[in-house]
Amino acid sequence: MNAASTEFRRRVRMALADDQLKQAMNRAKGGFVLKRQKAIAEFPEFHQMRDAARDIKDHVLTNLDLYLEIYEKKVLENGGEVHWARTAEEASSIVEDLCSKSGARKITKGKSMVSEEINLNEKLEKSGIQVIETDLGEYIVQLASEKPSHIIAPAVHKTRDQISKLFYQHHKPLGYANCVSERKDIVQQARSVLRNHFVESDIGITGANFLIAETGSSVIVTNEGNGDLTSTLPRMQIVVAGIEKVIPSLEDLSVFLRVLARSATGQEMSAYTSLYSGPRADNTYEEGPEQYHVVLVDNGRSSMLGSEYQSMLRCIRCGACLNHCTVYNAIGGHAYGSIYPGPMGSVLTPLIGGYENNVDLPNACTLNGLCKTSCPVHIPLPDLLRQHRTQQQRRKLSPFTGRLIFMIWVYLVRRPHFYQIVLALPIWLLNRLGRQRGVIKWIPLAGGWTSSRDFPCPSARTFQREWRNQMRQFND
Amino acid sequence: MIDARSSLFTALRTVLTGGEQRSALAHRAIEDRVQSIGLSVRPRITQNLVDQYCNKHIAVHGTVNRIIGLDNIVVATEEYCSNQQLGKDLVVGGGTILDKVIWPSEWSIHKRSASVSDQTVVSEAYAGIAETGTMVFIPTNENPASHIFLGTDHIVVLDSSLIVECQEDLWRTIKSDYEVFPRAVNLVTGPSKTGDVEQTIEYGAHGPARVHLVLIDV
Repeated sequence: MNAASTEFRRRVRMALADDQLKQAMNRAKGGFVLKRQKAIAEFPEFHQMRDAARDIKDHVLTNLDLYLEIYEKKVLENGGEVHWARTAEEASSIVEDLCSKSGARKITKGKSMVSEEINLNEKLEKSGIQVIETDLGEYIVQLASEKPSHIIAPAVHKTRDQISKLFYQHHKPLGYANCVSERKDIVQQARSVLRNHFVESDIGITGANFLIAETGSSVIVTNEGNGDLTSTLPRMQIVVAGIEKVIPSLEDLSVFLRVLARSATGQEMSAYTSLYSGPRADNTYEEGPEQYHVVLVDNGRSSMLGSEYQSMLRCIRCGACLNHCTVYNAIGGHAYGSIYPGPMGSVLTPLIGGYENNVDLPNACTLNGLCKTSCPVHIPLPDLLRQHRTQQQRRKLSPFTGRLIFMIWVYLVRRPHFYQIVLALPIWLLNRLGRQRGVIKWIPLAGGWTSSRDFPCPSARTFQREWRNQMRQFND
Repeated sequence: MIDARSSLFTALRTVLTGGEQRSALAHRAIEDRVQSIGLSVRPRITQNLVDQYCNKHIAVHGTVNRIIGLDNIVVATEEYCSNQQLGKDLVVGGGTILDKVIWPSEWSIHKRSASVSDQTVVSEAYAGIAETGTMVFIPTNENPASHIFLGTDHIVVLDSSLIVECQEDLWRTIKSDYEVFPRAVNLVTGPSKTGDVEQTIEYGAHGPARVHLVLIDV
């Protein structure tokens, strides 16, 4: 077992033993799923929109070079600048360079998964720049020196009590003497603390839910309004986005907005959807940034194009697959060890972070298919996870025991007669073990199963043997 | 050393065209696609536009006061401030309607950007979208973005004739009104909120905790 695999299993064990995490996840579990179901039931065109969203993404991906050129041209016409980054390191260096050259000391950030992907905060902080996350969930995990555990609900793993203590610890030196524990008071305190940061910030950095080629706009969708204050008040706005975020037109945006909020939070529309297309018009305009920069990040995306994983580039980061995932809901996001957890993360992380470091992620899945059915852009996530498993098998990256079992299995299924003989013996044994109670409480080498549930007692004869018997009786 | 842009486009074209440059025809086809309209699936709106708009706005935790005539804006504002126990200290934006309003001289009316300490802001929306009860703002010097995001109570005046059915209608209206697409277009659907503490909604995360619509039949 390699180091990454050992580490993953350790994190999973820790997560399963963490009562606070269990409490937080249990509270969250089902909420998003039910709200999504209700929103979809009230919107008869949802499935048409879903198909349309998939088709638009597929069309863009087969013409990605052309759409990126048009988008870039529009941003330049609007007075903005476009920067291209092949890797995470290049992307974070471009942003750091922009910040350093402008003499920025404090930066506010809207929630951006791609900025997590490129380790932007660490890069900027090393340069002595203060980075303030302004989405409440991101702010909470920043105070806790953690990473987000969900792509749309970064602090879903935190209980109210934990947040309350965290705020007291960090806000007391700022003059907030009381420890607030009510939800309303926690939110109000965050609002109060972050207001000054918005005003004092030199640069605002956001991600983008979409980039529109028609207008050169970056689109951010939020419920708090932090992304808009981040985009509006500082003198420089930097948008960091993956190259796959580009869509053709405003009308296409409408299709995505109709599936995004419903899939993510069960809303028809998030509270704030904003389109930003460049710097402020001229110097007489009192508000808006003087400079507008877009950093377009590849970081493995172009390698996914044309591969069996291309459909992953359709992902609009709604989080529906996480919300529906039984594994995610049991272990939380941090156990995955990636900023992209859950089904979408288990597909994406090995592609951008390498198979060797993420060997267990594609296997942390029951293949129940809920992620596929909930995906608003029809990404066949279980198929992609199976594809990863096949790759691991071929590259001999999966654990030796697992590969050995599969090799034996393949050897047997290719020899049906031998397979039946070999299988008959353990089936008979299991039947002997459990025929009195109907269930088996303990099976040698299968303690992982029997420690938490009973194994149903199989029939004394295999299905094939029974089938043959019945056919014989029928023919007689 | 090859720059990142060239390197990225080479990588994309290697996959997409086998390394060939795109033809003029291909460029034209995509440019036409970008400009094309009427391709998207529109949701069906079954109610009267204004009724649907109001209902959707209320469904997202907004409040509505429907009035007739400009003269009633002051009355509607006073009523809201009184109900919410707010002072008559208002940051007020501009626009076709708000520029014509004569505010009582004893009120403190500030025609400036909003600041972090401002409580009540009055602004005029560019349009409304019946599909989702969304208010649309296109910030200008008179109606700056700070008006939308910094107050605690946001009173929004909207001419009911500016309500459109769907987002697609909004895009068409903006494109016909603006030669160059505006720097910012803000779609606001209800008050600011967060579910980041225990996945339970609390209002007034960063933006207004209350959004009150004064819908006016001019």
